[in-house]
Order: sequence, then structure tokens, then C-alpha cells
Amino acid sequence: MTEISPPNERILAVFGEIQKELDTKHDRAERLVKLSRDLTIQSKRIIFLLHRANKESREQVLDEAEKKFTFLKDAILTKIRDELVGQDWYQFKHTYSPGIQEFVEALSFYVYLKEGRLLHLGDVHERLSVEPDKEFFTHHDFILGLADLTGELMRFVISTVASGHVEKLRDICLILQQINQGFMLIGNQGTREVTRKMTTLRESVMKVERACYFLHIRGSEMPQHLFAGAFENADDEGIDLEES
Amino acid sequence: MANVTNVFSSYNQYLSDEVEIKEKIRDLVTELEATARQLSTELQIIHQCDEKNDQIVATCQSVETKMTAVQAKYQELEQAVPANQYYRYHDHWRFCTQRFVFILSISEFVQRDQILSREDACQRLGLKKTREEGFHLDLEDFLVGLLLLANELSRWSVNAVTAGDYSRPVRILKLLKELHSGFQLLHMKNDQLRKRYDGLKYDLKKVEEVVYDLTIRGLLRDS
Repeated sequence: MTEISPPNERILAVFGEIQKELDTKHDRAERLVKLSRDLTIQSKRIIFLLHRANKESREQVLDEAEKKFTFLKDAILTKIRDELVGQDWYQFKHTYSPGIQEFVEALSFYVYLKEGRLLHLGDVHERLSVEPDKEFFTHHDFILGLADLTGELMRFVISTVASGHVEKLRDICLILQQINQGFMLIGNQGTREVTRKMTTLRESVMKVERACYFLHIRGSEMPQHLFAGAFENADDEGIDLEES
Repeated sequence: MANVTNVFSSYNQYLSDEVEIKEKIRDLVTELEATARQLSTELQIIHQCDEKNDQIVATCQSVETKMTAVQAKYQELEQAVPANQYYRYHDHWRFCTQRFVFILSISEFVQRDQILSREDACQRLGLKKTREEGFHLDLEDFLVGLLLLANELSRWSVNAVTAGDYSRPVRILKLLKELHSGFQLLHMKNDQLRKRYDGLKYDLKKVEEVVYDLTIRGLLRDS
């Protein structure tokens, strides 16, 4: 095999410059991947916190969650935005997309528990103090985060019903139906990921609808274990426990 | 809850706005790709010529003059892409851009015996060199174009011998060695670029074997 001679001047000029550019790009991508991982982990912790809330601890949990969101904004999201100043952030979005999705999932869960409504993209812009045209994440990421929210709502309604508070069941059924309807409007226009999540969502909705059916037919005197049957296999399907 | 509907109707709008832009881009790229195919096909003459390479040089010169039309197309493409969203749509023109770099680098080798520089690639395509300057030539597209060149040249080295042109493989070997030494300077991730770069050593080996065959048979009188 040939010995490769050291690069001549012209080669050094052409490729030396390229080396620097590539390194800079890769380094930035690495930093963003790390920030995204932190964002994902911290967002998941907020979700766990929110699941732990009960009637007594609700206020306190919501306050704590609010503080954590502020921390995420200051400690991580600001850093992500700073990395992208002067950059074409579409070039790097794949590095931090998972983190953004998890953040949206956590935030939308929080907003639902606190205010009983669905998070809007505008809410996210406001919270991050970003102008809509200066956002650094895509509408796709936001929608994907909302799709994941439905999994958390499923988990939430299961544990709520298990602790005997069946009155939440209908509310959650309704919002899930509306979200499902929203996704049907989109159809397969979205990215492949979006289309995949739609299938999962539909199954979740049908499970919750079935539970509402049981509630209606048997009333609130229905024994706990029969309710559990309505959510059969709910833990196996439709809920992405490990993401990114 | 009306607000749930709003969330999705605004996403719907976002998607249809995006589709509109993509359609415009796709039309332009279709034309660019047709030109790239045409020029690549013309350059196939390198594999069919014998030692008299006037035809080859003439073809390369003609290819370079046809770049004006390509430049105009890239200008139109720039107009179709919203500011600061180059990489949102870059996948559309990635392929044809790599092809154009490949085409120009063949011509550079034939006429000037050297590796096409980024500056020259940009100038001939009417693209900027960096994103900060405007609609630019993506760095990796440039590199992939050069790797496509390596593969084509390794094929040419074989056909050159068959056509009786024994000096061509020597010149190709020199160029590929230079190219390899350049690529070795780069720190690559395990991505598409890296996979393509792995092919370079096989191209190099192939040409070395050709030159070796010529050498031991004494066919290289003045290499």
C-alpha cells in the first residue's frame, strides 16, 4: 500500500480550512446534544412530579413545577438559543429536537392540570420570551410534544380512577377526543413521526372512551377492578416510557 | 374547547405554507437535476476516448460554459427559499449540488490537473462560500462531490489504459493521493460523509494497481 505523503500547500489550504469549519460545526452539535439530554431528563422529572400530585398537594406541586420550568428556561433553553445565535438553526435542530418535545410534553401536562386547557404554541413563545419569527424550534416539535402529552394524560387518568376520582374521566376523554380530532385534520401531511404517533393516540382515545362507557353503564358503584379492565394493556401500548 | 381546534388549524396552515414553498423548490431542482444528468452524460466521453484527448478537453470546456444556466437556476432557488431557512429545505438540492461539484471537478482535473477549490466551485456555480455571505455551497456537498470524482477517476484509470493512454492513470494517481491526504486532515463523525470517504481508499487502491501494472510492464517511459 502506498505511503501517503504529507499534504502539499494547496491541499493544506483547501482542507485545513475545511477541517476547522467541520470541527466547529461538530462541536456545536455536541454541545446542543448535551443540552438536549439535560432538557429531556429535567422535563421528565417534572412530569413525574406532576403525576404525584393529589388533592392536598396540588397547589404545592404546581408551584414547584413552575419553579422548575423557570429553571429550565434559564439554565438550558437560554443556552440552546445562545448556541444558535447567528446560525441556521434548521441545520442543528435534529440535535435538540427530542429535548424540545419533552419540554413541550411537560409544559402542556402542567398547563392542563393547572388550567384545564391545551397549551398553545404562542404560550411556549411567551414563556421562553421568544418572538414567533425568532423561534428556534419547529411547529413539528411542538405538535410531537402534544402527541406525547396524550400518553401522560392516559397515565394520569388511570391513576386518578384507581384512587376513586372518576369525575376526571370524562374531562380527559373529551380533551383526548379533541386532540385526536385535531390530528385527523392534519392527516398524513405532517412528518413521519407525527403520523406514527397518531396511530398510538387513536388507541389511547379508544381505551379512555371504553372506560367512560363502563362508568356510564355501571355508574360510580362499579368496583375498582372492573374499571382497571377498561384500561387493559394500557401500560404496554401507547405510552412511550423511554424516549430519546 | 375551541382552543384545541386552533392549535391544529394553525399547524395545518404551517404545513400547507411549507408545501407551497417545497413545490416551488422542487420544480427548480428538477431542472437543475436534468442539467446535471445531461452534463454528466456528456462527460462520459472520458471513458471512450483514446490518447488524443482533444475531444475530452473540448467537452470539459463546453461543460464549463453551460454553467451560466446553472448559476441562473441557483439564483432562482435562492429567491424561493425564505431567509435563514437554507437548511430547512437543503435536502432538496443536496443531490444535484453534489453532482455539479463532481462535474466541475472532472473538468478541473482534465484542464488544470488539480483538485477543484471551494472558491472555484462557488464561483462557477454562482454560490457563496459561507452561509453568512448568502445562499452558499454546503461544505459537505462540496466534499461529497470530490469523493464522487475519486470514484469516477478510478474507473477512468482502467479505461484509459484500454484506450492506450498510459499517462492518464499516473496523473489520476497523483490527484487521488492529494485528495486522500486532504481528507485525512478532517475529523469526521460516523455519518454519511464518513461512509462515502471510506470508499476513497478503494478508489486509490484500484488506481495504484493500474499504475503498478503499467510500471512492471515498462509502459511508463516518462512518468
